Amino acid sequence: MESAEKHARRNKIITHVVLIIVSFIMLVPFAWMILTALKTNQESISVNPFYIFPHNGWHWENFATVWKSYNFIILYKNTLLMIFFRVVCACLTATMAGYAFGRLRFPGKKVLFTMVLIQMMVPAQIFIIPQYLMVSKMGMLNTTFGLVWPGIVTAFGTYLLKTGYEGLPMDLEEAANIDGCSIPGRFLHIMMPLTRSSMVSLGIFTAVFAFKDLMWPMIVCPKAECTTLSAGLAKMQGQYGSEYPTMMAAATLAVLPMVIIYVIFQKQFVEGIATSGGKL
Amino acid sequence: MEKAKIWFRAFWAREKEKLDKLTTRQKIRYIWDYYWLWILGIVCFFSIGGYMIYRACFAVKDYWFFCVFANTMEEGGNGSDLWKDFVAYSGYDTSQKKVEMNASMYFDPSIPGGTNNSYYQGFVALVESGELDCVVMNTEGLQGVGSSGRLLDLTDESSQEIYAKYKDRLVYCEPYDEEYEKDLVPVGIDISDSLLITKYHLYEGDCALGISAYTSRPEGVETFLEFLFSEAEEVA
Repeated sequence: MESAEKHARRNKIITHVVLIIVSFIMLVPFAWMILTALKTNQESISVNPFYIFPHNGWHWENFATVWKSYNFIILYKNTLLMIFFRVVCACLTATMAGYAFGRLRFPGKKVLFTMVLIQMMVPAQIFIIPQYLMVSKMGMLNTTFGLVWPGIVTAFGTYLLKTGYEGLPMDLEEAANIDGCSIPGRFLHIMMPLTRSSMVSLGIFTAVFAFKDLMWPMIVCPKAECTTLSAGLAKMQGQYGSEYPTMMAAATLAVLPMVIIYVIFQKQFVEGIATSGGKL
Repeated sequence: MEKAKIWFRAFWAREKEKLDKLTTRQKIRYIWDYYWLWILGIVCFFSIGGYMIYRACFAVKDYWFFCVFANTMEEGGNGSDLWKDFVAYSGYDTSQKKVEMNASMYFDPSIPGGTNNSYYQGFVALVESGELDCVVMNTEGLQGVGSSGRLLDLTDESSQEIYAKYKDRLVYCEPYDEEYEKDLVPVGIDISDSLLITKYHLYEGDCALGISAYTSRPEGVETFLEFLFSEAEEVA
């Protein structure tokens, strides 16, 4: 009995130690980024492994330098607007398309859904040129609309929501149908609220991918006043390529919105990842 | 269609009957409670649609000239001194068409792995969409871009005038297609002594200009080259 308890205790300790080590490894890049942001350039390129912390004081002015060089308020605003509209549009279109593919019967359904699946099977880069031409011909370059455009519909979201709707019991919809509820009513009041977790997953995926998207903002919004954090950061990388503290200060400022969003929606993030089984 | 019409008439009669019994305040309340989502949807649809139509009709979409300055740390984009001087020199009316200069791209196809980045992919998208007119970068890098087949062979009919005018400044690269009739293809013009270096300091050492393989505006590039060299001559 005592031996079993000892065994369980030992296993628990080993598990905790392993998890602490893994967590530490995961945190090292972030810690390195923040600590480098507070060093001098010479300290940052030192190969001495014991130079973890700044030796010549904490150089907070690196943050002031990048803050002054780039209008971070504009970058934050553009990025958050892009994320917001992409999440709203993706959830809206994917939930409607998912419901149609998952629950309704109509001619050509299989062919249309195959076309949606084909979109998921080809690299996203293939769509860049036609999408760029569309945005350019619409006169939407250097606008928030241009940034949002490729995220208005999502094949992955349609697939995710379709499987979400298919997983719901038919009885619910049939009961609503018997009570005289129309198709839009059934979708809006009965089925859509039940796919909340799938929509949260989709929202998280869309937000993270929108935040990380570099190529699209770079080509449709080259102007400094309408670009996003990722493209702005890339520009800084060109400008401050050899000044690691300044670069890391910019990177720290750039990750702030996602950290804040994560802190606020932590529960939903974990639920969302668990629901979709995805990796961000 | 007929079925939808019948359904709509019945629906309208039913709703009208309900609304007739209500006061104006109650009517508004009823409509909002039952149809707020539809109202929001219609408002969004018309707002977005209206904005799209407005931009499609009134935004400046076409280009006089579109150039990428790759691998420069200096300010050479829209609104920079270079941009202003070129617009003044060329006399292009920017309210009719755009003069676009992008100095936010960093790639070097001449080094191993130099094309495995989003900048290069973005550059390729600009070239292959046919929107980009020319690229300026260090000579070796430009030869790398030329070897990818994305720069115009300057002996091509569309660039005959440029070829004749700058034939003592040509930059060559190996052809993209091994079966191409030439061993070396002229894909760029050496502009190391131009204003880009002497006045605007966009590059140090050497730089060259290549014309996009899919451009439809070689005359814009010609004007830009004239601008770079005519002022250089004046300065000299």
